[in-house]
Amino acid sequence: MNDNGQEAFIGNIRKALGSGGKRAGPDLYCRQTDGKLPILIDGILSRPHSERLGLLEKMTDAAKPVNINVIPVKTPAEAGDGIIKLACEKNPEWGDAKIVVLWNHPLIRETGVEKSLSGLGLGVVFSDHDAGNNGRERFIKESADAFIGVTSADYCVAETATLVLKAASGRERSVSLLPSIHVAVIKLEQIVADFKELYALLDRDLKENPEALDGCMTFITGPSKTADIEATMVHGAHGPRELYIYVLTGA
Amino acid sequence: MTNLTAEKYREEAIRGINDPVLQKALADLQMRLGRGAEEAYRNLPEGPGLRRKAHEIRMKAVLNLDSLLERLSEKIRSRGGHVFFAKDAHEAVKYCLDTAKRNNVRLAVKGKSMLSEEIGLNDAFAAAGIEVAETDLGEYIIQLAGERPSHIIAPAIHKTRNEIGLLFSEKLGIPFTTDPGTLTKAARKALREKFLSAQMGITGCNIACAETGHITVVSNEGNIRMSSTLPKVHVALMGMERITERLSDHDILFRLLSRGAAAQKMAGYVSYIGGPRPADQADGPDEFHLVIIDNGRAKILADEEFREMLCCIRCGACLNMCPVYGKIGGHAYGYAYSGPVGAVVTPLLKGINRAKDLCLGETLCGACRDACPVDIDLPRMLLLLRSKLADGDLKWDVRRENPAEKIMYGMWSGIVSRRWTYDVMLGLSRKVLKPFAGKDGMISSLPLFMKGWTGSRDMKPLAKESFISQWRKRENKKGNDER
Repeated sequence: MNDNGQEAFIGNIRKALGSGGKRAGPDLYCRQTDGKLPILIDGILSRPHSERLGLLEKMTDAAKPVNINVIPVKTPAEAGDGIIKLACEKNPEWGDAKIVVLWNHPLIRETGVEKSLSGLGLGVVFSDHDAGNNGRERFIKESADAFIGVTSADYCVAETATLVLKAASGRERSVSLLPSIHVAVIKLEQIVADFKELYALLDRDLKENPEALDGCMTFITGPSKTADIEATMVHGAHGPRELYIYVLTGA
Repeated sequence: MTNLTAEKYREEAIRGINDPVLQKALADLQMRLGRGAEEAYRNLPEGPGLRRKAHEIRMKAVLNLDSLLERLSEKIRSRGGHVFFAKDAHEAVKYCLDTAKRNNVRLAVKGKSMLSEEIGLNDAFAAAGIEVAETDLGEYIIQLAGERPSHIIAPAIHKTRNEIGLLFSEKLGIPFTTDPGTLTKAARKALREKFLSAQMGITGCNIACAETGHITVVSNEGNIRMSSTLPKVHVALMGMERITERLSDHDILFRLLSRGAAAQKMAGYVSYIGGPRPADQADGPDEFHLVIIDNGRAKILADEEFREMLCCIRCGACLNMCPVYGKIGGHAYGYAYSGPVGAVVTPLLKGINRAKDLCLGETLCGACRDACPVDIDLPRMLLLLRSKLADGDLKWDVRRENPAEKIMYGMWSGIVSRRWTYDVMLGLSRKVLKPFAGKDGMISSLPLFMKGWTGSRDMKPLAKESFISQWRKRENKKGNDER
């Protein structure tokens, strides 16, 4: 049987580890904190509004040094207004056409940007389409032609202002990658304090649905950057040059 | 396979020391990243002790490597990904090439991967007529210039903006400029076309997760996201030790990796990839291949004294703190891995005798140990390598580097362990060395095997009388006076 070299390879490792049989630690994949997990999760979920606003403040502070613009707004419509303003003010980097690509996500639909952008004569592309082979190439091209990409996120880590995006149908990866400007719209409740809380939630997601993380998941902390030429920081190496996060705090 | 040039360590080190541009770049780098990492560790909510915890996490993974790798490959295959286990560089390169040929690949874009340097992937692809474009800005500069990286995470640290400006105007046809922003933009434009037209993306793997069956890739530029999202085929190369048990291990590991590598709280982009794109998603690769590579690592694993080295996550933090790397630069180390990590890993992978100068050149000052985000005791292993060079070692096939030295030290220990033999030797040395003293009273050159003592500094001649003898005389005199 062709096992792509696995058996011999693993056999070699077992030999190197100095044991004949399978010697997986019996405690592998068990968590000492398993018992504490529900308590931690409860704490995150039942966090009072005032504390959440505190996290937003923390996130705003963390965002500054890594060049992220955090903008608190009350309603999705306000976020939509902000996006329209950006689309009008900013110029496309790669061509003349002003095209905006958006996640097909309820929160993004709620902002109502689709209608306003079309009204202004700007191109609008949603990531819903047939995802067959032609669909793939077409969508990547459309995302590459767009100058603004609008996504939501699954979580946001206040400590570092890190967005956590799980790819799914209608929530494609290119939207946060190919356009020159990335805009994310999230709810205040999606902000967690630190990575410990984030991984607790990811563990919970996995427990509830073993396939929860099957797709690609990306952490984004700031716009694309490089310091490879004489250690001088430059934004916009390959990914987006600018990053805006609209946080919906509720009316 | 990448040629090892560790034999030219001395030559290259001298060249590095005499290069004023490199000296300035290295000093800046160490000041910024080395000091920055130190401060970032101190500012951890859990304190610098968190590095010990990370060490335990890494060691547990290394000790359970067999089952972790089995779980990883099972998960990835269940999602339609391919996993290949490569015993050595040759097998790994062949698998990548076969995959490229089967998919009619003409252009591959590559995210920074030191492992791809280790296995010599670029040369093999070039020989097969397939273009491999490096996409990390530093690596791109190095590739255009036809050089080799000199730092694990800042590969072009040895080049000035002036050199890069000239290079870009020649190779990319842009007007000459020294502005890093304009230069970066030119590379951004050139590489964007490649990202959008490449048929294959090649990346490394930072720390895979066995529990969920993902590889992870980390970058600041976004080039690795591009390489793993846009081309139809994604090939990820992974050193077999680069895995952890549980998803939540990444909490500690990524926070420390980001601090160690670039004094950041969190790297710009971290992606978890577990297979090809699902049928209902419009981007991501149609084919995903994970190549898990041994290439000498099982031998390190089998040696309990060197096993710790497999905890390394190749962040480059030790380079940013090492006083030796800070002077000689990365090229002297002559292989994909430079600095203290290279000084241990290269001899273990490529032969301890062949790469002997690497571990002999380090100072054992311990800075690398303080810098390491996963608390690896590099000085201990440097010393161990030296002892193998001094005594020889069958298991590692090390021949005694200098048998005469061993004999000399045997004699020395015989002499110094008895007072009278030591005094006789001192007396003889005084006579023998006297004619070599210059006008200033210093000895500035000795012949034959003693040359090394005066090669780069003057030596003081022995005092006319030893301290002990002077002391005795003094005490005697005092005693007499008091009487």
